Amino acid sequence: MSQESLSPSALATYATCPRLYDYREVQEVNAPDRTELYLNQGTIYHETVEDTCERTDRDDPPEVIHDRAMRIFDTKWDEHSSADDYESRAHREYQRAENRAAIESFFDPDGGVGIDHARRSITTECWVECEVDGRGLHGKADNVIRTDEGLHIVDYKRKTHGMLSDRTAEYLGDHLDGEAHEPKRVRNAFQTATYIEGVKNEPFYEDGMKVRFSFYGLLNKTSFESTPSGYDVSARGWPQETTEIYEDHYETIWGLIRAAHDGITNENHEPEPFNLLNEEACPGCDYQEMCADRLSTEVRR
Amino acid sequence: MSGDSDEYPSWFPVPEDDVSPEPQQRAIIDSDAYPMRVLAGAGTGKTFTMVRKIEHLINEEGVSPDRILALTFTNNAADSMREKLNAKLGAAGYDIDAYTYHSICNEILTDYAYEAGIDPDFEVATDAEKYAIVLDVLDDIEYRSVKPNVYGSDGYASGAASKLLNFIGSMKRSGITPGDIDAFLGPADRVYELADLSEHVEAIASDHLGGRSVSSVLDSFPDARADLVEERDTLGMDRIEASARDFLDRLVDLCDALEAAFEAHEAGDQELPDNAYKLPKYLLGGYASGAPKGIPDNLDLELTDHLDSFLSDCLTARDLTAGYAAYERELEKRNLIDFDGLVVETAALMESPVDEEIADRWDYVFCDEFQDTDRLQFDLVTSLVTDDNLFVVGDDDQAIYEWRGAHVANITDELDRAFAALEDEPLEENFRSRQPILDLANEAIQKLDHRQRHKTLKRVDEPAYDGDTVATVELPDEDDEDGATQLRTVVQNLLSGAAANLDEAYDPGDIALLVRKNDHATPVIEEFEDAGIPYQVAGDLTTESVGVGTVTAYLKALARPKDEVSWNRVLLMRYQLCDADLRTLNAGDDRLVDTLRETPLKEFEEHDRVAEARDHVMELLDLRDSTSLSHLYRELTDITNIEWYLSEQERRDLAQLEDVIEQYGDSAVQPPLTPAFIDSLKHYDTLFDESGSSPTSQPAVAADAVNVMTTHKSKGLDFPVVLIPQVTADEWAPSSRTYDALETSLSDGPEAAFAEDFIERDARETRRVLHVGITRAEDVLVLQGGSEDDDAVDVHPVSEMVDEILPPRIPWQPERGQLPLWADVQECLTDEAVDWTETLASETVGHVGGTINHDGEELAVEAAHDRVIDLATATLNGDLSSRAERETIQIASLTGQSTPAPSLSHSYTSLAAYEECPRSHYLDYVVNAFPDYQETAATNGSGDGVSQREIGLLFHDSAEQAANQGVSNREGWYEICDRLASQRRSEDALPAAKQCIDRYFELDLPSYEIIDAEREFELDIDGHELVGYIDAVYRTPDDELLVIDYKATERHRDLEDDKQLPIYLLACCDLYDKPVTRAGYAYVGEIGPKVETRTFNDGDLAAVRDDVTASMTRIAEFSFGRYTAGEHCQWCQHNQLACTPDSFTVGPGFKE
Repeated sequence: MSQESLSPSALATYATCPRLYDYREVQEVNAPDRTELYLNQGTIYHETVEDTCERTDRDDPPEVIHDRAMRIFDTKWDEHSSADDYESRAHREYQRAENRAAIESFFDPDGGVGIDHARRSITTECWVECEVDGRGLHGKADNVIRTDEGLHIVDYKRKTHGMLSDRTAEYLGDHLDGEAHEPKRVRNAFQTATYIEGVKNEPFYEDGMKVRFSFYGLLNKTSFESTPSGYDVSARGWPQETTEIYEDHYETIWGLIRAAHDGITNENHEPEPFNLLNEEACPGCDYQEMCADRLSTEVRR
Repeated sequence: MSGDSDEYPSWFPVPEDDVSPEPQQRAIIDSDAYPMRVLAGAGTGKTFTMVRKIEHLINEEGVSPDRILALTFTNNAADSMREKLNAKLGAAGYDIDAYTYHSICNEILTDYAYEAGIDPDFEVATDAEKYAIVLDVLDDIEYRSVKPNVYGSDGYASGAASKLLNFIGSMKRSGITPGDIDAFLGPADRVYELADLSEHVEAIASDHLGGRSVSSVLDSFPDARADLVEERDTLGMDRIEASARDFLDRLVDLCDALEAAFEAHEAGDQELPDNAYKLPKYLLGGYASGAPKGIPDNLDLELTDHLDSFLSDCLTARDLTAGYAAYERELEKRNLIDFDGLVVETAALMESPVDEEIADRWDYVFCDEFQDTDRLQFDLVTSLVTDDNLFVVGDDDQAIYEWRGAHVANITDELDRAFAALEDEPLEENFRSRQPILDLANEAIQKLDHRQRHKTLKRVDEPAYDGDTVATVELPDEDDEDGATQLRTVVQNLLSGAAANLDEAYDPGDIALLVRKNDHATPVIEEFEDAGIPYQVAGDLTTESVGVGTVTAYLKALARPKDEVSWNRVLLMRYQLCDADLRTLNAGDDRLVDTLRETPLKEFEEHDRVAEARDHVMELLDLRDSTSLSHLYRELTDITNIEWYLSEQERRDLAQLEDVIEQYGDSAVQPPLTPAFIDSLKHYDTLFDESGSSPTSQPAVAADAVNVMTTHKSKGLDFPVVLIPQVTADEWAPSSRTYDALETSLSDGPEAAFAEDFIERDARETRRVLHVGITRAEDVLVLQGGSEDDDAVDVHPVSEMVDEILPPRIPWQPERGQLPLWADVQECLTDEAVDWTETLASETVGHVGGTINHDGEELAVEAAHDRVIDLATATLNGDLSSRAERETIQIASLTGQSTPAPSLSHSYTSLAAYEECPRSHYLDYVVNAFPDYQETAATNGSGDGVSQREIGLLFHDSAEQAANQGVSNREGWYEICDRLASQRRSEDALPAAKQCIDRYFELDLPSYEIIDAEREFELDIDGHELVGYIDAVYRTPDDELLVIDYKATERHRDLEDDKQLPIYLLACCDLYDKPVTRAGYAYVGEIGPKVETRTFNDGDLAAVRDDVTASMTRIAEFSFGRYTAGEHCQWCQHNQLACTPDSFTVGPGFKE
C-alpha cells in the first residue's frame, strides 16, 4: 500500500473522473483562464474570518470583534480583489457589498455566529494529517473551535447549497456502486473524514473529546433591494453539519476514499463507468474539448 | 432587348422569366395607378410582378431607370432583382437603384454626411463591436433595480451587458432615443413612488372586495371605485403618469361593468356562476396567492400584473437609459453607426431641409416585403416618395418579424392613413404549392383574429402528380419522446421513394425541415447523423460538430497560446499525436507551445507528426499578429489542410464559422485574431441568438442535403417537401416580451401601453409563422404534432362569465395566449390529407440505407460500422485473424436510395481539364474529390520565387476593384494593388503585378469606357449549364462593345483556334442589349503589352457552340475509368494515384 498522502480535493477530482485527474493533476494541462473572481473572493472571506479569529481573545466585546472584522475585510478586499477580474467597476462594487454584508452578518454584535467562532477559536488554517488502512490524507482546516464537549472544525464556504446533507447522504453509496455520479457530495464526505480524523492527531486533542465538523455558508442567502438612490444588499449564512453523516456512513465513505486513493496511486485513469461519466462529468469539464475518451467514444484505450 | 430574340439562333439562352404574366399580375403591371398596394399571398409571384412593373415603366412609359428606387430586405433579394431586370432590360437594368432598406440609408448618409452631421468616413458597427462598446459603458448604467452582475451562474445571458444590449435593441428599432425615455420616465424618485401603485390597487381590492356573497361585494363597489378614482387622480396627465392613470381608468370601467352585472344578478336579470363574488377581488389582484378556490387557475387575469410588469420595466429602463446614452456617445466617438442607427440617422436627415433634394433623386419608389418594415423604415419610405408614386407589395399573413420591431400595420392601416388615394390590387394565384397545401394554409389562417384582408390562395397550372400531399404525423404519447425517429423514417422513405403513396424519390436537397425553435432541430439532426442523411443547418441554428470544434480550437490556441486544452485538441485531432507524445508535451513547467518548439524531436515517438505540428504552429503564430483574421484563417486551412480531416457534414458545418469570421470587423481593414474575437465567439450564441435572426439575412440553400432552418429563415424560399416538427400548443406557445408596453407607450403615446394584449398579438404572429412554413411546400407537406390535453375543451363557467362582463377597454381575455395549434390543424385538414403516423413515419418501405458485404455476410450499415471499428481494434491489438484480413469490405449499395447523377456545371476551365484528362476532370469537377494529402503543403511555391498565378490573381483583382470603384489612373490602381497585396500577404508578387499595371496603362484600353468587370454568367446550352466570369467588357470610342480577357502569363493564345472568347460572346448575348462580336486578349505579362482581338460571326459562334455541346455531352458520361497520363500529371491534385507516370508520383511540393 502506498504511503502517499492525498488531499480531499485531489481525491474528489479523481472521484469526479479519473481522466480529469490525469489531465489536471498528473499532466497539469493548463485550462483557459477561468474567472478568478470567485476564487479571490474566497480568499478574502477566508482570510477575514481567520485573521479575525486569530486576533480575538475569549472575552473581547462583540462590537470590538465586529469592528475588527470589518477593518480586516476592507484591507483584504484591497489586497486580493483585482479590477481586472471584473468587467465593470459597478460589478466589483456590487460583489464587494455582498461579501461585506456576509461578514457584517457573520460578525453581527447582536447574535452573529462569528462572534462565538472568533472567541472560541483554538487555531485557524490548521494543517492536519491522518492515515487509515495505509491511506494517507491531509488537509487544512479553516477554523477549529473549542466547544463544551470537545472540538468543532468549521470549513467556510460561499454557499452550502447542493452539499452533503442528511437527505442526500444516501447518494454516497450509489456513487460507490457506480450507480450515481455525486462528486460534490463525495468531496464533502472526504473533507469531513480528513478533518475529523486528522484533528485527532493534533496536540490540542484529548482523548474522549467529541469532534464535530461543519460547513458554514457565509453567503447562503443574499438579498437585493432596489431604492431610488441605489441598491442595498444583505446576506445571511448558516452551518451545515456533517458529523453524524460521517458516523452513519463511515464504511461507505472510507470505501470511497480507498477506491479513489488506490486509483490515484496505481495510476489508473480510465474513466469508468464510462457512460455515467460521459453523461454527468463531461458537460461541465474544463478538458472536454481535448478529451480523447469523449471525442471518440468508439475508440477506447 | 427581349423582343429581339428571334434574330438569334434557336440555341441562344433566353432570360429565365420569359413567361407571360397571369391576368392578375398583368393588371398590376399595366396599371398607371399610384400609390398602389398589392397584398400578395405566398407563392403568387410578387417579386416577379414588381420586376415586370418596373420593366413596364421603363419600356412602355419611358421612365429613365435611374429614376426608380427599388427596396427589399435582403442583399440576395436586391441582387436577384437587379439580375432579373438586367436579364430583361440589358445594361439599363443595372441603372436601377435596387437597395435593401439598410443599404439605401448607408448610401444616403454617405452622400449627405455633412448635412446629417456625421463623419463621412463612418463605418457600420458589427455585432462584436457593439458588444465591446456595451462592456465599456457598463459603469454608466445607474444601478438601482438592475443588478450589476455582468455574468452569473448562466454565463452572460442574464447579466447587465445582455440586458443593456437587448434594451438598446428594443428601443432603437422603434426610433426611441435615450432622451425620449428620460423625458417619459422623469426622475427616479417618482418612478419608485409609482412602482407601488399595483400594491395600492391590490390593497383596495383586499380592503373592499372581500365580501362572501354577490350582495355584500355589490355593496362595497362604491367604496372600491372611490378609492381607485382617488388613486387615479393623484396621477399627472402625461408621460409615465398618464400611462398609469389610463390603467386605473380602465379598472374603474371594469368596476362599473362588474357592478352592473352584480346588480342585474340581484335584480334577477342575470345568472352568475358559483363563486362569482370572488371575481372582483381576484381581477384586481386582491388575493395574495393567485386564483382562489372556485376561480379557474388558467383564467390568468390578475390585471394588476400588467401594471406591475410595465412599472418594473420602467424601473429597469430608468437604470439602463444612461447606459444607452453612453453607448450612443461611444458609437459616435468611434465613428460607428449601428444597423438600427442607419435608419434612425437617415430618417432624421429626411426631416431636414435636404429632404426634397434627396427625394427628388427618384420618381418612383418600389417596396418589397413591406409587412416587415418597422416604424422608422415606414417614415423613411414615405419621405422618399414624391407625387404619390409608390408601389408596395407584401403579405400581412406572412408578417413574422413583429417580435423584432416590424410594424405590421405599416402595410395596412398606416398606408391607408398616409396615402388617401391608395389603390389596392390582390394577388392570390399561386404558382408554387399543390392545392391541398393551399387549402390547409387558407383554412388555418382563417383562425387568425384581427386579420386585416382576406386572401384565398388558388393554385394555377398545377402539374400532374400521383402521391400524398398533406400528411400528418401524431407525436408519440410518451412525454420524453420528441418524435425525431418518426421524421428520420419519413425522410428515409422520401429519399427511397419506394412507397406507393409517393410520387417520386426525392433528393435530400428537395427536403426542408423548418423548425419553430432551435431545440426542435437538435434531436432530428442527431437522427439524421445516425442514419447518414446529409443535412445543412442554416446560420442561426447551432450544432455541435467535432470537426468545427477542432478548427475553432486551433484559432483559440493561436489567440491564447496559454490555452493548453485547445493545443491538446489540435495535436490530438489534427496531428493525431499518440498519448505518449502528448504526455511529453504536457510534462514540465513550460508552456506546451514552448515545449513543442524546443524539445528535440528524438524525444518523441512519432517524430514526423510532431515536426509537422511544430512547423505549422510556428508559421501560424508568426502570421498571427500581422495579418487579418480572415487571412489567417485561410492560411490556417491552407497550411494545415485541416479540411481534409473533416467529414462532408463537418465541412458544411464549418460554413457557419466561416461566416462569423468573414463578418468580424466589417471594415476596410479587418483586425487580426485576438482573444476578443474568441470571446465574441463564446458570447455569439447567447447574445446574438435573436439578433442574428433578422429579416435582413437569408441563408444559402444546399442542393445536396436536407435543409434545416427556422421558419423565419425560410421566408421567400420553397422546397418540394417541407417537414414541420412538434406543432403543439406548448412548443409554439407565445410568450410576452420585455418592454412591450413601455415601447408601445413611447411610440404611440402613454395611453397605448394598456390598449392591447401583447400575448394575443404574439399568438397571432405564431399562426402566421405556421402559415409561412406551410406555404413553403410545393408537393409534400408533413406536419408533426399532438395535443397535450384532449379533454381541456370545456370552458369554465367563470371564464364564460368574465368573457361577457369585461368592458371593451380591458384588452385581456380569459385563458389568453392558449393556442391549440394542433387541434386547429386537424380541424382544417381536407379529405386529401393523410395520416402517416402508422405508415411512412413508423417503418421504412423498401430497402433503405443500403447494405455491405463482408466475410460472406450481408450487413446493415450500422452493423457494418461496428464491424469496421472491431476490425480496427483488432488491428491495433495485433489479433486480427488472417481470414478476416483477406476479406475485403464490399459496399454494393451503401446509399441504397436513389442516386441521381450529380448535376454538372461546366466552365471553360473544366472543359479544358476534360480535354487534358477525363479522370482529373471527374475527380475535380464531378465528385469534388479531396486533393491528395500533401505532406507539407506549406513549402509549396516558396522555393522557386513568386508564382505566376499569384501575380495574375493580384492583377485581375486590382483590375476588378478599380473598375468597380471607378478608378481609372495608374496611381489609383497601384493603391488598390498595394492594399490587396498587404491584405493577402502577397507582397512578393507586388512588383510583378505593378509591372502588369504599367503595361496595361500603355494600352488603349484605359481610355475606353469600362462597362463591366469580372462579370459572372450562366449559359444554358441544350440543357447543359456553362458558367464563368468575363474579365472585362469595354465600350470603344466607336461605340462598339469589346470583351477582354487579361493575360498576365507568358503564354500566347492563338485566336483562330480559341474557344474561350467565343464562349464569352455567347454569354454576352444574354447580358447586353447590344450585340457583342469582338473579343480578345490583353497581354500584360512579359510578352505584352499588346491587345489582340478578332471578330466572331454567328457561324463561328455556332461552331464553337456545337463543339462545346459535344464536349459537354461526352462529359455527361463521365467515369473514373478513363484517363490520359502526361506532362499535366505533375500539376494534378491526384497524382498519387496509380495512373500517374512514375516520374511524377510525388506531390508538387516535392518536385525538384
